[in-house]
Amino acid sequence: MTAGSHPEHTVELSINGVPVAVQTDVRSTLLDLLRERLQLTGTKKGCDHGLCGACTVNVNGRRVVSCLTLAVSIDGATVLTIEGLADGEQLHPLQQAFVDHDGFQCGYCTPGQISSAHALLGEHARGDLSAASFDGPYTDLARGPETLSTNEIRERMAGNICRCGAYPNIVEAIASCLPECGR
Amino acid sequence: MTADEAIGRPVNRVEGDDKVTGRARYAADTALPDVQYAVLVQSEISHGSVTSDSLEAAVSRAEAAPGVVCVLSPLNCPPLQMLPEALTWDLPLERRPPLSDLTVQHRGQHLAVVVADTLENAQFGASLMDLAYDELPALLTAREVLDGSEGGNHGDDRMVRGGVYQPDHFVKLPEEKLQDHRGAADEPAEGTRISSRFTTPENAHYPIELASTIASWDGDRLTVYDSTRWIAGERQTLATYLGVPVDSIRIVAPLVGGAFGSKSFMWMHVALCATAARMTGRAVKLVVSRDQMFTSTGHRPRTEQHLSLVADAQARLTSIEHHTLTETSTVAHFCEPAGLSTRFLYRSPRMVVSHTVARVNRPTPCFMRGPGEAPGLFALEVAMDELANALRLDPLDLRITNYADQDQASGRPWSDEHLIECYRRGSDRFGWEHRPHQPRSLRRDGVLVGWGMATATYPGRRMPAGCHVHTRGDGTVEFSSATHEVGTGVRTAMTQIAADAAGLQLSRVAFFSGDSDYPAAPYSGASQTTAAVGSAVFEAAGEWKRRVLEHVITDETSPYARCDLSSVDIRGGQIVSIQSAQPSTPVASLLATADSALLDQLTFTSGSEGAPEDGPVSQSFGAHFCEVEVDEHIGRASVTRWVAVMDCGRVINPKLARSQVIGGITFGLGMALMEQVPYDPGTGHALGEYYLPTHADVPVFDISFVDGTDRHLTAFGARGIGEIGICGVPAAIANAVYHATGRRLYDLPITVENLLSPFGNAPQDPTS
Amino acid sequence: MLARVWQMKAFDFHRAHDVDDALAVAGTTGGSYYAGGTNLLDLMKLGVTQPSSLIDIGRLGLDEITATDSGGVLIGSGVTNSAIANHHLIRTRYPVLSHAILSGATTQLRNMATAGGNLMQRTRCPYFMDVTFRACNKRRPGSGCAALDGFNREHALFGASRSCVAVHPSDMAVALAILDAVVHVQSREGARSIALSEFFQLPQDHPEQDNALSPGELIVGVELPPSEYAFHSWYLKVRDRHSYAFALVSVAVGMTIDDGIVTSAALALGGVAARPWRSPDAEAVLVGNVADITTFGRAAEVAMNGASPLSQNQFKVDLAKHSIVRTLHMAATRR
Repeated sequence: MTAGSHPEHTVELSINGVPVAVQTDVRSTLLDLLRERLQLTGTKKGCDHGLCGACTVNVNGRRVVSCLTLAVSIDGATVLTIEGLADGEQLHPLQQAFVDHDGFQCGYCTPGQISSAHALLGEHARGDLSAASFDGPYTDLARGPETLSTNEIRERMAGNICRCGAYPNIVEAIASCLPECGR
Repeated sequence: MTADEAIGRPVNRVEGDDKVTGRARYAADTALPDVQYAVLVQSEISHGSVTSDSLEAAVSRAEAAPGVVCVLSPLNCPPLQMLPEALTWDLPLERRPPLSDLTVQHRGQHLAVVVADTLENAQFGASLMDLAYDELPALLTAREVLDGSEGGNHGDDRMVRGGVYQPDHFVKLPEEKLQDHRGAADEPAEGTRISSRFTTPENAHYPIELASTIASWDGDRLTVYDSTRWIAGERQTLATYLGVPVDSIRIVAPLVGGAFGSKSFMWMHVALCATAARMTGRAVKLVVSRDQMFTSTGHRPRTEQHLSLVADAQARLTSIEHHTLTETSTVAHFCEPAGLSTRFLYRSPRMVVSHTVARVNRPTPCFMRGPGEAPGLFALEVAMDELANALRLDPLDLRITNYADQDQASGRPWSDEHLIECYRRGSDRFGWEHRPHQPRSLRRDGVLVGWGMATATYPGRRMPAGCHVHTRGDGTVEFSSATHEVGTGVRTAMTQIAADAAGLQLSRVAFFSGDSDYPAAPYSGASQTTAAVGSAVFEAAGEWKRRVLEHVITDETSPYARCDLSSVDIRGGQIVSIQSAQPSTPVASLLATADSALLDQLTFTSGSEGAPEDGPVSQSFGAHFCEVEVDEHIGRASVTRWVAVMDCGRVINPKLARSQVIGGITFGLGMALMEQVPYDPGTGHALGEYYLPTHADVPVFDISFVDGTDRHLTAFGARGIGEIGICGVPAAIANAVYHATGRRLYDLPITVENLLSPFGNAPQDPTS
Repeated sequence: MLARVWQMKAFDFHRAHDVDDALAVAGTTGGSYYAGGTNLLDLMKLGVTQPSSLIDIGRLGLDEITATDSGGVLIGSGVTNSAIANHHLIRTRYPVLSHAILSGATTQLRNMATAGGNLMQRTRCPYFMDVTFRACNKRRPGSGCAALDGFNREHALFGASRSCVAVHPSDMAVALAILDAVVHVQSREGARSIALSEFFQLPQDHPEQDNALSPGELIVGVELPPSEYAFHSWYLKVRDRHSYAFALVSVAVGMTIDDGIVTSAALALGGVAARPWRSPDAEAVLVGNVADITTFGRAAEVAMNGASPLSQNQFKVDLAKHSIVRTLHMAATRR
């Protein structure tokens, strides 16, 4: 490792619809890029090892954990963060549902929960399965469950840890948005 | 009571929109120009010292790394002052200032701080600091200390201590006796006796927000953005460590991403961050990593508890003994007060409670949600279940038979207590009367089903607090106090209390927290914030109302001129004349035309006192009933449904209160079924993953509150709900597991190994 | 994760534009292939591995699933785990693979991780993952094995040696094992195919070698022959909480059943060895017999013959037997 070399790369991304070109350390995760270089602090760091889901964002249409996403590896990608969900002052129905159903307490895992839930709506609309789908009839496997049971929602959200325990309210918030506000 | 009353309404959280859009700011989100990044370097050994040669070499390597600006270590750190004995003697504040010398008292002890221009460079610089140690034998468990094993510390040095001790009382509360005795010297010889040993592991708070600090100096003035739950305490402690006046420090904790008892008392890394900022002349940001959270912000220590119960032929307790062995570090005091509830929860003429604390070479523990109650009620409520079984009595009937209608520990009555109603309502809602007595009687879809219950209890506390009121020309009234929004909903609850006490509509009132510029408030803990800060807000709002009304009755031009103060009121934002037919007038109009003198009059600071020392005892109670399915073939326990009825005084916001209780129950579920820090048996080093409950682990919840009002504790009748949710939960689950399987489990967490049935020659039909 | 602080050294980063490019750069730099990064980046942060060069293989065009002429499927190594599990060919013809993948990790991680990456993931042994533990032969050959007499609750029952008792954590691989998958790899010397049963190496004296790949060899695809197990199959994963945890034990089963008699069977265990543990002896007990609990019980006993428990994982033997019976039952009674 040569002293004095700062391994900087330029990464071009579209973040919440805005094209951005930013210098990043080659070692930087998307999470640290968002928070420390772009001041998009809505996305949170809870563990930095992919274990808690607080850093969940959407990259190229799929929900991912940004703490295990190497920034330079997604050059050219489209990124959607929590800051991009609302339409100006108008909350996305999912965000409003979280508020109404008290789907958070300290709020720190919330951007990750909502980013995950938002993606979940699209996954369901697309007919994606979860491990819980195998508890249902065999025929569900081909086209995907038509409605999502509580168990399905819980399994699909299991990668987002909430220490405050807002789980049942989060599930209710998500359930209230099915199927009307899928993409 | 009017229709406008905000208290009791399930209002959405006032900061909700911010939290769901990413606008909500936590300490690490604060944008400061030219901030530098600090990373902690910690000890890898439990006891001994780091060699000065290796430290010097490590510091050199780190200093030479790209982007590194400075390295703080015992070699160069400006000495930090010791904290006063008045604090450290009975609170979990370390006696030794950080980086004071090369000695190591526990794994994870701070040894250096690396500061660099980017996070990656700081992390890389820190990674170069391989250190060598002169290792000494460590004592890592209470049993080793009691057995007189070699190693650890002995004697009673000012800062570093070894051996065991028996503290008199819990924290600064002399009435919370940790060594207590009531009644006869010896256990009665007659009766049914249960005697069991329980163990609970170390638990980690694991708030999702990592402890985060940004320190910034402006001349001699220090501003610290920190994820703390005790602004006033941190300010005082930092001032002492740094040797500066308290007034020169400002602490801002905008929102806190969960604390559960952490993020206070262990402020050494905050002091180091501030020291680093002073050295570099720039703002410095330090975020504790997840693994460092296990050693740097406290934890719930292990307990080993012995419970003995004796009951007579009528199932009345004649003796309860509860002895706890627990641990603290060699450099700070903390005693997990597991036996405190046992002093009063059930009626018994004889009670013996003791706590023995062993000093081990492990990080300093501290309060964690339900300190004492969480592990202590596990032991007590499982022992009661065992006793019920031995007496062939329903577990709920045993509780009711031994219900204590006053506080036996002090001899005083309860201020407002509805435990029997909690039991009855919970039992009804759950369907407890259908519970078969025999274990292994219930099955469903090939799994065993069990029902368990436990009593919950938690004290009602209230310390003094201050509140500032600021009236704006646009008619909004802002209340503020240096309390902390950690997820409890304090900002919302205070808004509701202020609105009602001032007579205003919710939309006209705001409450702000999280800044030491606001009047001091106690730590957000002990479930006291609603009572403590609520009292300050209630009084301030009441005073505000009085000043408005004073003005309208003395102002000759006002329609209420020369009315009696008692004949006018403010309700729903309207000034009303109670007796006459005088039309009401909006407060907003008055404020819109107010001159600066009036606005100044309506801007002031006031405070409220702590709870009265005499009189009845404020204590919250509750009852938990749960169903657990046990699949003995794969060793899995699934908590399927939960009924909890809580007696917490007046509920300010039922939506938020329900969430708090659910959160507490989820905490208890984790404690019961999965939370522990796995250790390497040889070295005692932590390894592996600490499992928390996920979405998929939690039951369906039925939470309700009895109609209570504790006017002894607060004028508005509230007590507190932050922690009672966890109290009794691990026992309810363990009791349900017993009911399902016939296995009595005494050690937490209950895992696969505890529940798995042997694979016989004739395997069980999975469908039966 | 309780482990040491972040340890990442800077590295060169190359984005390969096709397979030959990737192979060439790997040859020159000795670098590591980088796909989803969910395991590699994690290990780099922990200092477990410190490559000086990364070769991004995310855009090599290996991200399709296609039907093969023989009636099977070919899964490009770059297809994400989620995409595999949800692909119509997989969920209809190889549902056990879908089931296994969906039982692993979380949606976020499955969206990032690729087929190749899933095979290449390293063990989750906590001693391996924490560089402050010096004794780990897999990470530092010749240094010893701390798990042998340490915390080994989650470690191997089969195929281990005194030098390493780690298990391979992949759920996907267990399903691939019963589907007789073949791993297609390429190197600068050419292409070759490795049966999944030969892909993972048991530790023996060289636990640092997880698999049969030579340095620089790149997985390009995983091929599945046609399978009769579309209907009677099941994956069961037993872990310490209801979701999002690695397996203590897992079982993948596929059977054909005619008139209540098992006519063919494939069974493999996860979480018990450094590779999916296929059990031909158990399969032999099943075939030709009534698909009932008695048969399943005998198969379970036979499957666990030869298990060598460690000081803390004895419970996994009975857990595995129960799990095998449960999985066979679920597969047999599929509706």
